[in-house]
Amino acid sequence: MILWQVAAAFFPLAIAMAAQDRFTLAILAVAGAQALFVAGWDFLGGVSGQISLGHALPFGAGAYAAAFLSGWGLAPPGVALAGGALAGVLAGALQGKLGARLHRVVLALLTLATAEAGREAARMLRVPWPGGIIVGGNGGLPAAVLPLDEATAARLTAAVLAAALTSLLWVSRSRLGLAMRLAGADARLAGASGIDVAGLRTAAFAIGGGLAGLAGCLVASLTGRAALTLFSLEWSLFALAVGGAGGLGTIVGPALLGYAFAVVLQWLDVPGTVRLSLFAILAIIVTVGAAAGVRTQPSRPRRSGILNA
Amino acid sequence: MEAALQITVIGLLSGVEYALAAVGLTLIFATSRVFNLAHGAFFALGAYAAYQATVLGYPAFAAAAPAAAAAVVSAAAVERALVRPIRGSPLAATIALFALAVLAEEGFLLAWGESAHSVPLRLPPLLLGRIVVSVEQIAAAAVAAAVIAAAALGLRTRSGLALRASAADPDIAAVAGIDVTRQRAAAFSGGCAMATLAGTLLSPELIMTPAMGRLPLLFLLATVIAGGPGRIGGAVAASISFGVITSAAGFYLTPEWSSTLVLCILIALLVWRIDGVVAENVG
Repeated sequence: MILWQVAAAFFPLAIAMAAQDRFTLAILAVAGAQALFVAGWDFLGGVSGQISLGHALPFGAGAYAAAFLSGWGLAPPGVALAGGALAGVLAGALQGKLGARLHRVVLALLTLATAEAGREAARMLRVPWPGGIIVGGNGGLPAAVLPLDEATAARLTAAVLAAALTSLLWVSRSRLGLAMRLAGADARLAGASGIDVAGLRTAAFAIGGGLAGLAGCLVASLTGRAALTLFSLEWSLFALAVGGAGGLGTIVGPALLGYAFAVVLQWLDVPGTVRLSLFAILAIIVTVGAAAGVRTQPSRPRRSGILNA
Repeated sequence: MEAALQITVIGLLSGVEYALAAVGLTLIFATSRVFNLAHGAFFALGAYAAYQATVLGYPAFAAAAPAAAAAVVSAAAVERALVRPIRGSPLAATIALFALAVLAEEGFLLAWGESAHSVPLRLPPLLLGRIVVSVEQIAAAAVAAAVIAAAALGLRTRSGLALRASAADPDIAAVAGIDVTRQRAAAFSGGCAMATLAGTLLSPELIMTPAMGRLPLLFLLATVIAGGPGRIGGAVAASISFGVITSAAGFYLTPEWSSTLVLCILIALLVWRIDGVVAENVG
């Protein structure tokens, strides 16, 4: 099973290698970053059992950090990406630390509140920029664009995605991942077994946040702007909808589904209103269907039991 | 001194208006054990209804009753379709309501566009000593207070007792012959109607945008948690307190800081206050 999953993780790279059209490649580049964002959410929600409604916080934090580092010349673009990923780790770890001992419903509310707080902070931010201008607020920060053509950008993001998915698959099946799954399924049992549940939860948030931060950097570097909308709750809804529909906890499924959605919706130039409505409806169907399914089959515990908080 | 008094009066009045929505939210949690993340959307519905009334040439508050009635019907449908089937999964219900809220925002965007709208004040402001208050705000606070009082009195009637019993112990209430499902549906519909009514009453003070319900939702969550989920008196007291605090923050700092302050308070409450209560009620 895992070999197929690893092979599937390289599917976006194969598509990026095969595509020739510049327009398509530009779409594939951004889609790869969005799939990375979803993979981070699924690791958090599916493997460690912590449903986050605020995954946009590390996403936006990573983008802003990378924009700041590259804009002020503090780091070359490649290093700025790493800095952005680190910012995502820190933002995720903060959410995890605050919510490590909380009930799942309260944790979901906490992540929602922290993401909105991040958004408000970014909206109030006013940063002096080279050239004597002040940037920030609703306009976001200008980000240094990666000096890559569309083909290289698409293949780079797909390669990063493949590496991340492979790593996540390995982690999810390691002792750490199994401990996370146990802590997610039954925190009391995990605690009684000597597992540091709070520590694992924080670590899961840090890992998921790091991937979201890296995705945010990539989006900012590809689009030339760390936009305020990267902190928006709509991103969390996107991850939630796709994560649930793609197979919560499988990592590759949600990532590939997110990739496919991102490609198709961008290719068809679907308006933002329609996209969000689609994700909202999908999230409702997945959530209600999964929770109702668990209720009707109590003798068969399923992965979606995570929603049975 | 005058500024402080002005801030306190304004904060008090808006706190009472927000308390109406907070009471609705706390009633929903008490009976359904669910944090209604679509509460902000119902609030926004009331505000937009008031705006639409002014577009049609009517006073903003004329939309109160029709908007509340529409909220009752739509909330009943939401409860039946989204909350009831997954009652055993509070997290799933919370997520579904969150998604519904986003869907509602897109609906507002389609209906009223992304431009900001506002409701004009029709009556001249009132000067009470050196304090300036709008007549609309006083009227709105009075209506909100009356509805909250009616709700509190209603909970002491036979029907209200059935609702309280359903909230306190659904199993025992069911054994006693109370239709717990119907009580929950009624509380959900009533709670959402309160949010819609609050939105209509607060409309002259708000700027209407499709996502306008988010910050009020977080404000209301903070209020309910601070006051104690399921406690009407606590929700009212917390709402009035937060109203004064945010009014002061908006005056002495900037309006943006009042939103940030509410978020910080909410985060602190979620981390340090609410968990035990939720674990006890939600399981």
